[in-house]
Amino acid sequence: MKKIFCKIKAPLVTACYAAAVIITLLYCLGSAVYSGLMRQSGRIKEQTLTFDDLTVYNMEKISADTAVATSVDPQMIFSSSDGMIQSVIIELDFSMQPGEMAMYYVTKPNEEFGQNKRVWAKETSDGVYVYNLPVGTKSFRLDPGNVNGNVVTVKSITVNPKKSFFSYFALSAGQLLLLLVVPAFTAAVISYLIQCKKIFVEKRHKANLPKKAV
Amino acid sequence: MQYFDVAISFAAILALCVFFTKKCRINSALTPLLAVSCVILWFSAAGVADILRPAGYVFFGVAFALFVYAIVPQKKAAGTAQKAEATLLTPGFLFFIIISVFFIIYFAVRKPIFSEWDELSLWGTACKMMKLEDRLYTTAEVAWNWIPSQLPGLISLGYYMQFFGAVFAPWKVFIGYDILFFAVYSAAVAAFPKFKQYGIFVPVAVISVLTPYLLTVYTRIVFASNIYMSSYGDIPSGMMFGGVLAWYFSYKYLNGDENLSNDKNGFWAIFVIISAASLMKDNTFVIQLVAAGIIAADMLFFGTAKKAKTKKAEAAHRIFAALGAVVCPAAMYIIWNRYIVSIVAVKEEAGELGQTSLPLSVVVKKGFAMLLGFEERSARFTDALNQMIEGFIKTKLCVFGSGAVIALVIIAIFVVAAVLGKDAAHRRRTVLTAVLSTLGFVGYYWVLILSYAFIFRESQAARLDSYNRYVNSYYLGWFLIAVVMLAISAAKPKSFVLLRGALLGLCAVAILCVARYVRPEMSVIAYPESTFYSWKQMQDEADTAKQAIEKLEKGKVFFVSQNDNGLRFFTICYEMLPYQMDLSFGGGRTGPEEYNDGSLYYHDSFVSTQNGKTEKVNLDLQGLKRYLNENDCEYIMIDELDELFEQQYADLFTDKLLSAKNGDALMYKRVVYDNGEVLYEPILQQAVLK
Repeated sequence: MKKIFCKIKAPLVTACYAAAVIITLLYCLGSAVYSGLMRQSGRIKEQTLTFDDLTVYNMEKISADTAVATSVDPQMIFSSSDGMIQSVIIELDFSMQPGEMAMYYVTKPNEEFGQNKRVWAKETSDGVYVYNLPVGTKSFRLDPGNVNGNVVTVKSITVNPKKSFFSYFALSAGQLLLLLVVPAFTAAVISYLIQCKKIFVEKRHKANLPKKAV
Repeated sequence: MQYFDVAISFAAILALCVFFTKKCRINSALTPLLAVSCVILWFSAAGVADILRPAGYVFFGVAFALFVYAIVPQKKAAGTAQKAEATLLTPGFLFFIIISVFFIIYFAVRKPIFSEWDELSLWGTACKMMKLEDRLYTTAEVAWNWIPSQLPGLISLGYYMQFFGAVFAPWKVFIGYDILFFAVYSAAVAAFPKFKQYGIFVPVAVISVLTPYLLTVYTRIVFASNIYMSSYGDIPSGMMFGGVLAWYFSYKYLNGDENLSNDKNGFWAIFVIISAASLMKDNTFVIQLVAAGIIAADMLFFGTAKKAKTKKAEAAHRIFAALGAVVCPAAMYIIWNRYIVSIVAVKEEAGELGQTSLPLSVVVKKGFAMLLGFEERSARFTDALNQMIEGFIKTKLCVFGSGAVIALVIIAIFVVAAVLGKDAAHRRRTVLTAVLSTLGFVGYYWVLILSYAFIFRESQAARLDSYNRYVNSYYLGWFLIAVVMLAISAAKPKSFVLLRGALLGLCAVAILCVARYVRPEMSVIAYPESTFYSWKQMQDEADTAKQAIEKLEKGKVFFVSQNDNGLRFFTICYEMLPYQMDLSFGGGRTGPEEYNDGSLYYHDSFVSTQNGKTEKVNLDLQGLKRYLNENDCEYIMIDELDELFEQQYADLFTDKLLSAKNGDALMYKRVVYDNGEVLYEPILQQAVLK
């Protein structure tokens, strides 16, 4: 029995990690292909928005591209009527430091925005925020900071900007964590199942019971 | 040196690990917790002896010298049996190194900072004081009435991680705490020293890493959790409780199996670890006593790792070892208390102490008398007792449910390990641990009831302030040791199917629960930059204020932040160090209602602790002038104004506070005119920024 127990070898772990890497690469490749097809079919299309395309709450427009926050919860909402939103690049100017810049999203028509569907920006340069949204996003709400009286100037908003092929292969922190933990855990489960089967077969053999074809 | 200090401190820990493995022949996965314990003990002792800097150099020198001694091949004396080379490469040790290095690099890039109340009022500030002065925080002076009695283990660890650093950085404190966590996790998987045992150590390692989330998060969180980037002592104390027991049982398991063990040396190490554990946090000292008690009972009933030749010698060995396990924390307690008494005596002479709570012996006596009906129960005692019982059953603490549910889950894990395990010795040990740890939990819970009934402030007791935080410490360690006992049971081939299945099932539940309730963006792994936004703003404000101060050898900075609940006061005080802030009546909070007659400038709690009693302070303009003069307030920092303050005190400032209102000045400096009049004039931001 001990011999069987110790037979669990590392190749299984290696195989699980290799499989996970291949699955991840295929997933990234699939995302790139899917995104390309969606762009061709027009379901994902690049759009440049102006302030007028946005519905604002707790903000008062003072010019074509500028508004002032009238509470600590200013909101700018955009809904795509016929397509999907994959990513958004926003360039903003503030009169005061804005604080948190979270983007809320919904994937169903009448769904309400909530804390559990939120993404945070990658700030590429001063005032330029890049948001990547999950597949199927129909509408987003950007809260431009949490400072009452902050004057917000929208320099540009681009929905679904072109992405390079390689950008689909950049994994998020959560995905990297999964890639690290899941293969090791899967290997542990598979080795457990293999050993259980061996022990089961061995027991039946010892009891001289007729063997079933496995 | 901004990053190298952490690297050197971590390298010294690894150097000790190599020495303990190679020369003391302790399993390498057990060495990180021993090395971290040595750091805690050494630096705490050095702090008490007030020789931190020289003792620190000695520590690093010795650590690296021992490393060289361990790796340089030694000539064997003729006839000496060749011992097998002790291996460093165990899964636990490798896991410790990888996860520690990852966190060091990650935090060096992202630099998280302190953001919780007690970090700013105690843990973080104490560590910063220690770094700035190279003296234990107990003697340091801060704006508010400093309570020096908090145990020094964790704060010393934060200091150690930046011993060679030029400036203090909070992320290095977090690294110190995290290395302690990882050392505990390494000990939790130490019983499985071969890589082919990944079927066990992977689930145990995963459960260990997730345990702080699993047992403290009770709802899907919407604000980034500060687990793994906090300097609070509660979670580390709980994990250390589990870590001490995991270390001991892994050690015994390894030494009971000749094939897996390096050698039977290194038994002394458990006493070092127990001692270090008792220096974690004052109100969790009881928890560490429970760990010491379980180890003492195990030594007494089931023997130590070393076998004596005769029965008498064996009995003596067991008794001495068990006594040692209990004496270690007791000795730490006595030494620390004697030290604190000497500090308090000095402070008392200087009249710096306010109200103190009842002595512990009186509290325990009163508590039992009320519980057993010898004394009439006070309303507060009855209230605390009822609330705590209700809290145990109803208050949701984690995704599993209330404390009662967690306790049942933990006991169920012990039962599964004991009933399904095939190793008789380990089964007995599991039963003993389960029984004693359950009794220990009852004891700890009783101490918490007494704390709420007699020690904490009435307002804290009324709402069971920080109940989750205090009680979770026990559950964390208790859960971890239950998992380790289950894993050790599952390591035996005979108990493979059910126990290994249970362990994998538990791991799957842990992964699913944490994935469901804690998104990566809400955890340490991908928290948004905005998490620390408010605190970074205050950091910038304090930096600007510091630049405005030319020289402040003597005197303080008075702080004005109307309507602050105290958090901004503590944060700014912490950020302004080494410049001393004045108590400033707590930073200018308005309230409570009964004092608020519209003409006062006061702070309730800080006035009370300053003078030993709550006192109504009537401060008109002349009163404030007198106060500023008596307390050597060279500067006034205006963080937040309101109409009340302007109406009352604008005449104290040369520009009637105009610059502060316009955002042109943050600091005002005292000017004494020829006629003896004292006013404060603005230091304009433009001049400062030049």
